[in-house]
Amino acid sequence: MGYDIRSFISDLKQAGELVEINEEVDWNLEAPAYSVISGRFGGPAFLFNKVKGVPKGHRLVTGIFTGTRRRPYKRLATALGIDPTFDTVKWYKELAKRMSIPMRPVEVATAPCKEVIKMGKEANLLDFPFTYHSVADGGRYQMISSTIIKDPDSDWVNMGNYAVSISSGNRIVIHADGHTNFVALYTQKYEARNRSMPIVIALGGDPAVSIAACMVMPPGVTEYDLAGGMRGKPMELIRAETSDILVPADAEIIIEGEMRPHERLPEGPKIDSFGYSAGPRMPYYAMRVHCITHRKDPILTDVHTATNADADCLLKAIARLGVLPLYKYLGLPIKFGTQLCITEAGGTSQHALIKKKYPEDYPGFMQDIIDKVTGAPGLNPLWTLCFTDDDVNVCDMSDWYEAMFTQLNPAKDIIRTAPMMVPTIEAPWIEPSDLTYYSPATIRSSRMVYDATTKEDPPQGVKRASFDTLFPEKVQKWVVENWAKLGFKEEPIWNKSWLDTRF
Amino acid sequence: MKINYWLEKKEFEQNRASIGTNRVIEMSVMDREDKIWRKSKVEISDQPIKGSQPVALMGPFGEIGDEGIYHIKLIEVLPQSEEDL
Repeated sequence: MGYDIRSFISDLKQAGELVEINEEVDWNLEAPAYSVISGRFGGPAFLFNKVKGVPKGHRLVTGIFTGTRRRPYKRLATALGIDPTFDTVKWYKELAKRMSIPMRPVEVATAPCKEVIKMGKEANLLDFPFTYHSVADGGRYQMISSTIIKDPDSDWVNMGNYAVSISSGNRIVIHADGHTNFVALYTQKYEARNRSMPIVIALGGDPAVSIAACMVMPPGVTEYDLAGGMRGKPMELIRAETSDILVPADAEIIIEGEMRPHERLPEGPKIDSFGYSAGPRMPYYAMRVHCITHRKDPILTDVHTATNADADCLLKAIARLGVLPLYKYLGLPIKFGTQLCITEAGGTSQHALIKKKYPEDYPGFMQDIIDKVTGAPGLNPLWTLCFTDDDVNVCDMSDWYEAMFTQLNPAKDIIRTAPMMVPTIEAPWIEPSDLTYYSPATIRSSRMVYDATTKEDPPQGVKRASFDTLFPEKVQKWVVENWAKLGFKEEPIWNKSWLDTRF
Repeated sequence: MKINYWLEKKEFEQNRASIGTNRVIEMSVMDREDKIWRKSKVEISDQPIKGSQPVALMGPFGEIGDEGIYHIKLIEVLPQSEEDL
């Protein structure tokens, strides 16, 4: 078997980063509270061996993706066998390298995820410790999962991570926004043909699968291939019980079911990443659960969306690379990795920093980027764009701040676009009166564009006073190479190393 | 006062005319023990009546208010799905 959540737990325990709790804990606020307070100070992950109200042996693990403020990717690195002490540049370079070598998964005949099989009325979601995360939530949620569906017209299997609401013992409601492949496949292919969509939600298994599921991929790309690349080994899959969907063999829990055409159930509200509520209680995609397979003594992974808790760190850790394949697919006229950055502060979906040459790459470059970003599915959640000069380091937030505060004329360099409705949204079931609530940030918001580029040639020919611009390359190299000889233990982060990062 | 149930404020407002009328209406009720919403037949009132329980109202973004001001008498929890029938 490959690396799975149990291997990860074992590695974290060995590194002193996971604590086992044998006293009974409640899934209702208590376990999440452990996770959130621990995230504040870079504390441990927790494995709860006894959870109130669920069958004996059904366990819960929290905090396994939590890092520190400086290194949000710390535990993800451990999960992928990457040195957790790597600095940001090294982490992204290694992740980018692995992502560039996808591996096709392999099918196996037997799997741990089939140790227990429960069909029909025996399959009860309430047997598992799905948590209630915060006082303003409208129900219990699973915020890390791999939702797997299949294109009816091709071999494309799509896997995504969505807010999964536990509606009852045999009903789940999935909160997926209109720009996702999930919504596109379901509404445009299955519903349009009046067909039920087979669907599987995999919980646990190789953390590489969970990480890949969080990334925004272009249509046609299967996240299993990406997970294989990240692991350096093909993922092992096994056929589901009630459909021909292939599921991760080493998952802890597999929930199988169907989505009937136009069937919706109420979902929400939910405190989502960065503290925003993901909207009022309203109809979303309803899944009928027909079968649950799981390991003996299954371990449910829970993540929390509070600042610096697991979901937050997970998004921050993959923010810059998690959406790059999509940009590549869209053919944006920019270089990836060096010229565009999605800031960690905004998760994967809110703030983009884009470098622009002076003079402009070509007339209309900036407008092209704005049009693409605001109009393309998957990119439309980006509501703040900042353009800076080519010599700004995308890896260094202080560089961006400096550009923002020194090169920007508030009278003419801040552009606010009118609120717009993203045309890809399929939401005929929403009452007109509810539209004002419906994910306003991603659908109806205006966009803010900051043009923090130099508007004229600087008098001395040096636009920005930094290590990279003030000294000849020979001198820069000499200082960096002699750093250790000067008696400093920590390696200097030479910003130029970011230029080698490509996807 | 222990509040065991939540109602959606929007749905509650739509049924405001039923308060204190002894009329049985269908509403979604969340049992705070298991955090599951269930369609139920209830009577709503603005004061305790025999067999009633105090409730809180949940606003559109999860804000909880009017705790204990209104009460419901739970008549019947309706089947949630075809499988429950």
